[in-house]
Order: sequence, then structure tokens, then C-alpha cells
Amino acid sequence: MTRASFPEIPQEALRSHARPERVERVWRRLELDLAAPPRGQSLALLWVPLTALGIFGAGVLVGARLHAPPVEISAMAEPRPALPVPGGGPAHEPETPAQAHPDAPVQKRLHAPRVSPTGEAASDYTESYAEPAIVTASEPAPLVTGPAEWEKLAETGDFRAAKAALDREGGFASVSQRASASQLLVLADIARASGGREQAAQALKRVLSAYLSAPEAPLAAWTLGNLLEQTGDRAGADEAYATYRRLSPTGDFAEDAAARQVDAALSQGNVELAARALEEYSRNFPGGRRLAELHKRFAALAAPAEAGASAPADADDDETDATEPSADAPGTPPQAAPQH
Amino acid sequence: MLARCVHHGSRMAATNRAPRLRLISSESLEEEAASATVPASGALELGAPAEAQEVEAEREVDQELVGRARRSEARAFETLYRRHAEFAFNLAVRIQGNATDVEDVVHDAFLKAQVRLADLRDSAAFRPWLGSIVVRLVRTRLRRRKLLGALGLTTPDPVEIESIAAVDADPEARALLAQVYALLQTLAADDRIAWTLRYVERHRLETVALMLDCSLATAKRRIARAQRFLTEHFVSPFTQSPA
Repeated sequence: MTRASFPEIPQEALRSHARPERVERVWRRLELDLAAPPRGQSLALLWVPLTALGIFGAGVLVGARLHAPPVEISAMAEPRPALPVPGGGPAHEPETPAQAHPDAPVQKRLHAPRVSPTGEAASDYTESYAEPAIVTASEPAPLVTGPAEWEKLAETGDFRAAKAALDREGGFASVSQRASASQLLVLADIARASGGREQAAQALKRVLSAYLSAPEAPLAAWTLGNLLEQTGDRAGADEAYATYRRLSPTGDFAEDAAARQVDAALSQGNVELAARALEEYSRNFPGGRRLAELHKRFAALAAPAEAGASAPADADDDETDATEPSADAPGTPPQAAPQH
Repeated sequence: MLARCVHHGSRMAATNRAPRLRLISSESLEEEAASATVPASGALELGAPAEAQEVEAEREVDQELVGRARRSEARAFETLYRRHAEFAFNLAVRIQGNATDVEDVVHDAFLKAQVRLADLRDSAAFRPWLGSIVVRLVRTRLRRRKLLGALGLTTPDPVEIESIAAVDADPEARALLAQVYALLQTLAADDRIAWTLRYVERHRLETVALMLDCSLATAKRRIARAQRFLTEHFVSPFTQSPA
């Protein structure tokens, strides 16, 4: 055998692979594929309207965002020092960012007025407190460029200087109209520290009327209840405590608020209201700390009323000690005439 | 001088078993390319004027069929398929070295051809254009198999001499094909395909370049590289070395 000779490939020796059955088989496959619409064309037909729709949607989105005013801007702030709460209630603890609780707002939020054209955000508080605090869209937005001087001073606990700075900026009434929920709480603190309970109550009511859904609202309701109770407005206090419980049913002050509602009703001498409040307190807090005391006070209130109501018939026969507490279980409604 | 096997235009007679050789210079390939014209069918051989006329007639038929197929006449494309199916099948098997998945290759090639029929500039040159699609599909398949083989995920397709050689081929021709394909198997896919198109399928250099989608110079370089390798390694089974 030798190398270096390379023959040509004989064509006759090559096999043909185009057997009729094979050609036919492939054509059947091709026929099926050719009968289907071209994939590229169908995709093109699908993508054209989808792309147009996407571009249109993006344009609408960008346009809407460009024209919508900023609704809410958050800003971090230093914790406030504790303030004594009028009425002997729990003091305001300094708020820290770690306290993520409705009653203890983590952040200071500067809320823009959330009032729709229908005045929805005013809520029932606008009517119940007769507070003309409906914020219109034309009002200036809250200060969002950073804490004001009065706010900084109040944060440090220097309420006297804060009051002076507040006066320099236009006074309480002017600032409160464009203040956020957290700023209103600070304004209430300044007012209370300077003896302006009315102004403090006004600021707190504004929180509840304009910023009811803000995290500061439960605290504002609680503080307002204390404040009104202190000023002798028992009905207003009762309503503020009820608001607190509605906003924060499991909040830190929920039990205390329920007890305060009983207190307020008892102070008003309203037996029916007191019975309802005590029943609610008993139901929601069966192991309530003040349950026994309130039962005793309620019994003391209810017995003379009952006795007075039945006096013409059996005033001489009945020797029941009306001052004894009710023997009913805590969870049951107090009876006007205890059984012995 | 290199010993080159160049087809002369006349086919080897069945009775003439001895391989004919023609020693040519390196420049001969270039001269041949320069003098070659693009054939109608893409085939290498263009001998008698009658044969050329026949090829031209075939081109005209293809041109008309392509025009009708572009106008979505299903029968026209079927006719194109039936005219060129044999060419596609044989081309796929011969450049691949086996008949594995050849039906899939032909099916995909005609499907692509139908979808891209509008891209065909010279509608008379349907066959070499179809050949380029087949070559691309086979080349992709060969490269994929090679990559998977390198990763140990598959074994390379062996050369099946039964797929290449005719059933009635004589033993010498079988031996020749077996040796040639065994050597081709060791070459890069592009070189192997170029040489096969040139010396097994017997296409002109321009047609080879067209099917390989490369320049004429590149096609020639690949063919020459493969030819050099085969010449160096081929051992003639027919010639006895002198004592």
C-alpha cells in the first residue's frame, strides 16, 4: 500500500437517502407546520398592540405622577421628652423609633390634609366637637422642610422658649392651621405647659378631625379625654375615651380608657350611661384592675336612684344597704336593686 | 506539487475501478475558481451544451415555482420540495457522515426555506440556497454534539458507512469511503463540510462558498486544508507498494 494517492469519490457508490416513503413522511410533517400560521407573524401581531398599550399606560402613569401633589412626606425626629398628663393619667413616654405601636408612633409624620372634596376626612368629630376644622385643599401644606424652631425647642423640653418662638411665627392659631398631626401634638404640649388648656384641646380636636387615621390620633384622643375630664367636661371626656378605644382597641390605655368612661358616666350621675360603660368594661376586661371599685361606685350611685324610684311603695319595708356593691359577677350587668 | 483529486467532468465508469488521479499545483484550484461560472444547479460539472441547457431550464422552473410559492401557492412549494428533497437528504447525510435525525434536518430546512422565501434574491438559485440552509443546520448540530461530547454529556455520532455507501457499492469503493469519512471525522466541521461539498457533492467553489456562507477565499482555504490532511493521511487500498 502506498500513500499520497487520493482517488476521487465514485458517485455510483454513494447511497441515495430520498426514499419515497421518507420524502412523503417529511412532507406530511411540513404540511402540518405550513398550515399553522407563521409564528413570527402571530407574535408580531400580538406585540404591536401590547407595546402600544404599554407605552400608553406608562405615559398615563408618568402624567398622573407629575400632576398629583405629594400626599404624605415622612421625616424622622428626635424623641419628645415625657410630659405630665393632666388628670393623673399615664405620662407620655418619650417616643423611640423602636416603638412600633399605634399609641407610640415611631416616626413623626408630616401629613398633608387628607380631606377629599366631599369632606370625608372630617369624620364624625367635626360634628361632635363642633370644630370647624375641615381642611380645604386650598390650605397650605404642612411644613416639611424640617422641624420649626418652636418644635425643636419643645423637643428639648423648653416650652417657654417654644411658646415664644411660636408667637414669633404667627401664634398658635396661625401655625395650628397648617400643622401636621405630630406638630399638633407638640402644639398641645406647649399650650398645656403654658396653661392654655383650651388651645391644647383645640389642637387635639384638630388631630381627631383632620388626621383621624394618623398614628398620632389615639394618643391625641387619650390626652384630650384627660384634658376634658380635668376641665369638667365629662361628656366630652367620655367621647374622647370612646374614640381612643375605637382607634386603638388593644392599645396600652384601652383598659384605662374604658374605666375612665365609667368614671365620667358616674361623675355625671348618669346611671344608664354608667351601667352601659361598666358592662362594656366588664365584658372587655374581665380581670380589670378597677372593676371591683367601679362596681362598688356604681352600686352606690344606682341604689339611691332605685330606692327613689320605688320609695312610694316600699320605702319603709326595704332595709337594703344601697351602698353595698353588687353581688353580680364582673361580667354581668350591674343590677339596680341588689338581691341578698 | 500536491497530489489532488479533481473531478474531470466524466464520471467514473462502474467497470473502471481504478481511481484516476491528476496531480495539480496549488494554484490550480484558484484558476479553476476564476474560470468557473455559477451553475444553475450548483453542481460542479457542466459539460456538454445540452447539459447546460437542461440546467438552465431547471433554473427557470425553480424561478417560477419560487414566484408562485411566494404568492402562497401551496402546490408550488410542494413541487419545490419534491424536486429538491433528494438533494437535501443526500447533502445532509453526506456532510454529517450518518443518517441520524436526517428527516428532522430536511424538515427544518424546508420549513426555514418557506418562511424565508422572501429573502431569496435570485429565485432561480433555490437549490444552492436550500443547500446553505441544510449546511447551517448540520453544522450547528455537529458543533452542538461536539460541545456536548467535550462535556461528557454525549458521544459523537459515528460515521455510518452504510449510510454513505450504496448497498450495491463494490468493496473497494466502500473501503475508500470508509477511510475518507474516518479521516474527515477528525477535521473541524467547517473544513469537513467544505471538502465534502466540493469532492463528494461536487459543487463548484462559488457554490461551496455560498452554502458555507463565507467568501470564496475562505472556502478554498478550508478545502485546501482538508485536502492537505487527507492527502497526507490517506493510504491507497488499491496500490501495492513495490517490493
